[in-house]
Amino acid sequence: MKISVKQAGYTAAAFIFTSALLTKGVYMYLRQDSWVAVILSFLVSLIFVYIYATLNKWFPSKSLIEINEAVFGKIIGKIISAGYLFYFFTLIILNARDISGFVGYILPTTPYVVIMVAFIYTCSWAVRKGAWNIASYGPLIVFVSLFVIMLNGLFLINDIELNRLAPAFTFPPIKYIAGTHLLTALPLCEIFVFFMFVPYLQKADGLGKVLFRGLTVGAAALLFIVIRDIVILGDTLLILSQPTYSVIRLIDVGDILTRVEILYAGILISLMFIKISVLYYATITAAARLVKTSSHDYLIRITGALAVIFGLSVFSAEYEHMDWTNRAAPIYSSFFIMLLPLLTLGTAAIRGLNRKNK
Amino acid sequence: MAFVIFPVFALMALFDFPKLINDKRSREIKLLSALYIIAFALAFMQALGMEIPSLIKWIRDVILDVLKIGYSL
Repeated sequence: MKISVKQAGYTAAAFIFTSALLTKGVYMYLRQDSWVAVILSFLVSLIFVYIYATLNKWFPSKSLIEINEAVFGKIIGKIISAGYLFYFFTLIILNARDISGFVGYILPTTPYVVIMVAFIYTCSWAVRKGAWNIASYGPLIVFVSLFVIMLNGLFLINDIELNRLAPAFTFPPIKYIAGTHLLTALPLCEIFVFFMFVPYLQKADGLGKVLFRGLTVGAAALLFIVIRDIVILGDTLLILSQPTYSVIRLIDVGDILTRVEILYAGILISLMFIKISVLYYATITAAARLVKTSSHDYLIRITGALAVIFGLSVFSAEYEHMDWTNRAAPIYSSFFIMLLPLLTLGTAAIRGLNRKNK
Repeated sequence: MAFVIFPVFALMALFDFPKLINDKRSREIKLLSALYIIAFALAFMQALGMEIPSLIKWIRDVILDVLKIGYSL
């Protein structure tokens, strides 16, 4: 079964929603001005979504691996595709580590290995069922997440102090650049991975619509979460390891409605299930297309095993995770989701492949 | 922990290899075997308490220490 633009769009939005786990990184740079980075990164991401959409229009129904071979030739194309395969795999590792860290924060005595194995095993099940099955959960999870996020905001209305947004625009420009770059390269433009879902889309050149829908819904929710965190927590944002989760822990309506953070935790775990399943699927289809095998099922278990093995040893301490997210990760991701697509587009245009395909 | 690794990998292999062998897909068998050997060796090392190289730390070192293009907090 093929995936509709609507399904894929909401799945892309779910993909971005999970970045609520990464907001700490942008708070470290911009504190009360973090909302500026969300808006700027949305605008920058629109440019890149346009680039991805153009590539998809020039090469309809082709995945990234076939586009690389068509644009760069067999050998260079395969090398670039192998790079993408490595990138997708590292994203599985990092996200598996993120969710294990989050669940480990709620259940501190549960070993990471148990959380990671259970999580990756569940995702592998979804991957085995195929792209349509993963995407079919997207709209449901997005609507439930939006409902929970809005409801939590409503319950916290008494804790809001708008003066926590002040003073505005007081940081040096490099901080705005770093914050914007972080949000653009990590959560927002990571939806680039949906390029691997193009062969399964109902509309062969519908990637632009998918990504635009996902980006708009995802960035709007992210903006709401960031502003809510700032106006409720203020500078406390900086000392909490999970600011968004900590905000929801404050909910106490008449001593009856408390501990609703478990709802948020459930939502976040479901969103992460979608994100890791999408990355997992992209990784194994990229590997199968790269080695030109008819099926990718035989790669599912071993990819999961490797993801757990590398995921367990990815960071030895929380500060290493923070250091990676804030200092190196935006540069690493930019190479794959900004520089290489630009290079592909430029090379395709120079070689006249856009006209040939028309 | 190390004693769990062997049965887990044996069980995984039991699901993965027979179909490929029956279909005589030698390229896939070679690729999968290589991946199984790597994964088993790494998992066994990890179970014995040895440190597994972190891919992300390598990338971080290349970006921050070799290329010197990362951000500073």
